[in-house]
Amino acid sequence: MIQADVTVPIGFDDEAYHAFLRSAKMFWSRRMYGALRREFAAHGLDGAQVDDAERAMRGTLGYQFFGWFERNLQRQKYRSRRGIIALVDRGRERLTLLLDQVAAEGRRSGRLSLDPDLAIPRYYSETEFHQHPGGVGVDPLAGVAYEIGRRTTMPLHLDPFAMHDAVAAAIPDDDYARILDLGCGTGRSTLPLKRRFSTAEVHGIDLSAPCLKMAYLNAEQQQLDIRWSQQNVEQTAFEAGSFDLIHSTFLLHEMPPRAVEAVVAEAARLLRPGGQFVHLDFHSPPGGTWGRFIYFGHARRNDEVFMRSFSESDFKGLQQRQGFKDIRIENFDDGTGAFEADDIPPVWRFPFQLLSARKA
Amino acid sequence: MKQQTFLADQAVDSVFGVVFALAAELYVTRNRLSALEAVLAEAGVVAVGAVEDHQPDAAAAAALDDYVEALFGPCLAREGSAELAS
Repeated sequence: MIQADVTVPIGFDDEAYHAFLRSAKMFWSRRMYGALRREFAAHGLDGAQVDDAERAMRGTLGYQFFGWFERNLQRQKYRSRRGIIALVDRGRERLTLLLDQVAAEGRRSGRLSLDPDLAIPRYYSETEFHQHPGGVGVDPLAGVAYEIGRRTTMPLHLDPFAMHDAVAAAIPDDDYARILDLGCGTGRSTLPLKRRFSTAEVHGIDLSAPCLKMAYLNAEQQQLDIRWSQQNVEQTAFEAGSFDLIHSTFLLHEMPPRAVEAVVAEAARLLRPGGQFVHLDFHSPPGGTWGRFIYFGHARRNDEVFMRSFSESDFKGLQQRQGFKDIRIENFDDGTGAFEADDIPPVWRFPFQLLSARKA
Repeated sequence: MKQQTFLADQAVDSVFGVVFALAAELYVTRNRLSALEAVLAEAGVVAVGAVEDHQPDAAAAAALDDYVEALFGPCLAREGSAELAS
């Protein structure tokens, strides 16, 4: 097992600073969200077109502050003088060296394959997804920063990684021989797949070399034999019909429509007949106009530039055209409850859904 | 990263950013002070007037300057900001 400590030294005052941000986010997700919901309903905007509701609410002070907090709490978390990037910078030299060693070890073991010549799509290199400075693919320590960030992105009472176990548990039982996790990032969604289907050959692919190094390290530290490779999910090097299950977590909403179409076509190529295609993602938020107002607003304020186009796309029809059947979009309980289309969540939450289909 | 403004205008937005940063640091300081008071009280080591008489060294003074720089950074002129009123 690799002994590599990639933790970042966080001082007493920095801990307090991030506790303040978490506390402010709690205030935002419960109190500000609740007050905004009441104001929205009082203005009679339920049932309105979402863009009309957005224009109407922009004039209200409550929505202005709600928006300010949503964008700037995340911004401060990363970019302030005590933010994640500053914390990571303190250990930059040591951590960069350490991850280089991890990558070299991964190459030797045959379980980590990086491709420095891989063509990176523009939508990926030009988007600072969820305000991650520089995106998650360039800075050698982007994976370290991403892992720190994840811990404060989820509702605060939840274990940020527990939902990946819940997703793995929700996948139909079968004797999968080969499993592929698309856009695996630091491997948090891939590890539970290997734990649940331990005899399967499990692969994780991503565009981000920094994240893949962390994924390899996370797997090795948990003694899980997973193959990691730097590839574009739109067009992989795997053989046709060579997978029984293809999965992704939080991938599709980060991609422009033509890339989503390419992924579905690639999955149709890679799956054997009857193979499963399963995603944890956000497609159709519950709560009618309110749900879309909050969700599309979040997309804009948090630099999630493709959330809305994915939400408004006909994902079922797209899969149907590529030869999938048993196509389902089901609401997923992340630990705060599962919400049906007409439900209005009492606190701010992502509209988690399990998207599944089977190749005909 | 593209600038986004939520409050009345960019000035108010920046002012609120400064207020927020101040509030964060006050939270941090209060946290440290209460911890410090507890530790000192337990040890019984604080002499009367010790804090008031304390002179910060050069490093501590520089740290305070850095703090001020970071705090008011959002108020610095931005490239591409709105035209001055004539």
